[in-house]
Amino acid sequence: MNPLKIFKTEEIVDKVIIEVDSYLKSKTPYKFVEGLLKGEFDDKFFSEDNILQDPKKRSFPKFSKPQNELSCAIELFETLKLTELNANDTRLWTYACLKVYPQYIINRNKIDQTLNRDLLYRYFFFKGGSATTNVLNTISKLWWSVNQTFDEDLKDPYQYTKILHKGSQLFQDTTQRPLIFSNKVILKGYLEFMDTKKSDLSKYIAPYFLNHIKSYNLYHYSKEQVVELLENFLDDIRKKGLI
Amino acid sequence: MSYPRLGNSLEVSGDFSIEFDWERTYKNGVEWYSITPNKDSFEIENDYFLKLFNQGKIALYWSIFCSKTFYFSNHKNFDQINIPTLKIGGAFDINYYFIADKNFKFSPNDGDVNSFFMGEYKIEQGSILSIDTRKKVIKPNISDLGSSSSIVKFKLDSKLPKEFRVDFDKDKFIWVFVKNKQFTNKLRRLLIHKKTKGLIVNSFFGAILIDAIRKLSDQDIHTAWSEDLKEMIGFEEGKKDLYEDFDYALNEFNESFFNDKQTFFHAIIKQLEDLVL
Repeated sequence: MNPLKIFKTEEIVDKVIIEVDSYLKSKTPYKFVEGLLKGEFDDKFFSEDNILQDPKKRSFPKFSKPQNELSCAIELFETLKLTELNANDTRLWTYACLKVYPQYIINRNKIDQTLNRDLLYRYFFFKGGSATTNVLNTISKLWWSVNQTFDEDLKDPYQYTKILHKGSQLFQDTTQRPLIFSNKVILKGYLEFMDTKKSDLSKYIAPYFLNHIKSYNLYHYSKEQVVELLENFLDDIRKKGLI
Repeated sequence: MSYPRLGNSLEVSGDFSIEFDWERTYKNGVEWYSITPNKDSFEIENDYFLKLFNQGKIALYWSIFCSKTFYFSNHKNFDQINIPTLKIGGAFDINYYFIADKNFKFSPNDGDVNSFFMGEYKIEQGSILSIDTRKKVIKPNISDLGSSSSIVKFKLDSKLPKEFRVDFDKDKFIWVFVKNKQFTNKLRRLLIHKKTKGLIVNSFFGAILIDAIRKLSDQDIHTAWSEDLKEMIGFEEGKKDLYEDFDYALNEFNESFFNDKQTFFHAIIKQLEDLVL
């Protein structure tokens, strides 16, 4: 367990990025990652002046099955106990990526010498602060994937989280569409429908579904009606010979 | 064939509008945003759509979306809703539109819609019957000109002896009471549109903000709006007495909300040009 800490201010995160920019003028992104693992930047980035301790004394979990993204996501969600506002904080996730989980990020993304600058920033930083950023960053997306799907009224509160993590195509198609990912009734209906389908079907059905939402409001729909609607779309797609 | 939508001036005559009131509240140690559609400000200018609304065939729906935290909720008509502030990060959008609440036949009269759309349509429950891009952005953290209007609120008071009364004594907002209903409705409508909003903020709220800046030199002023305004203009305690001077207050307003290249006056002229030319 690593104690939960965050960068003190967003300005400090900006300064860290400037440092990294400057480092990358003469060295490769991969070299930077190697240095990060060896602790070469600890004094510069994580000095006491730059860091805030968590007054609630929480800790980042040590992932028990780092190769299993679902398990990591649940452990992170259960251990950190964040609010949504906390979970959109660049100071938290940038610290988590650079200090706590660099090895996990390297393994997860199969980082090697070919790592480029853009991917380095995407994997290790949390820039932008929009909802999309929440689900792009390697660590924050784990927490958000549980937060949006967790349902304590179910026998298995992670029933929908498990479906979401069944395939990377489904995960990407679902999380990166705020109209689906933000509305929990639609999201559950969507995942329930996809549970019985191949993950890559989502790339056909998601745009179809989004188009429908634009002219038709599903406010009065139950989760079951969302599933039925999606089944109808699938029939239509099949009849048109699109799949 | 698609049916005509209220709010699209090429399809339906008249428009619709509503304001939303919001405030921070505390209950049981939790901070909330309380959001209420302002029923007095609600207006449907088209007789046929108004009839559909009064008959319960269409209803006002509004949704809240926070682009930072994925917070989303759907609501109907005028009830107040409360959201824990911890679920929202910074600004959030209130999107509002009309939706068919039941299946019915849409059969407008002459003049209600563009003649191209005359006829009968089967409308299914859930169909969106207005444009759905109407949006109010709530910015709880005051930091720019667009949100300067959020410390100034206006309200209809038909019993006023004169046209206007400005109340600087309330805590959260500066309240402008307006006697004329048509004026308040027009003001609300102009604040909806991007092109006219800036002009209204500058010309209508500008005068009030300048007076409000002058009041900051008052030793006894300790309202929430004055603290917000101090933050907006970078108030300097050491120069407190200077703010009372009209020229000084006008320049503070100009420097705080505009930049060197675009002064207060330039901004108004530019906005007028955008509208007229």
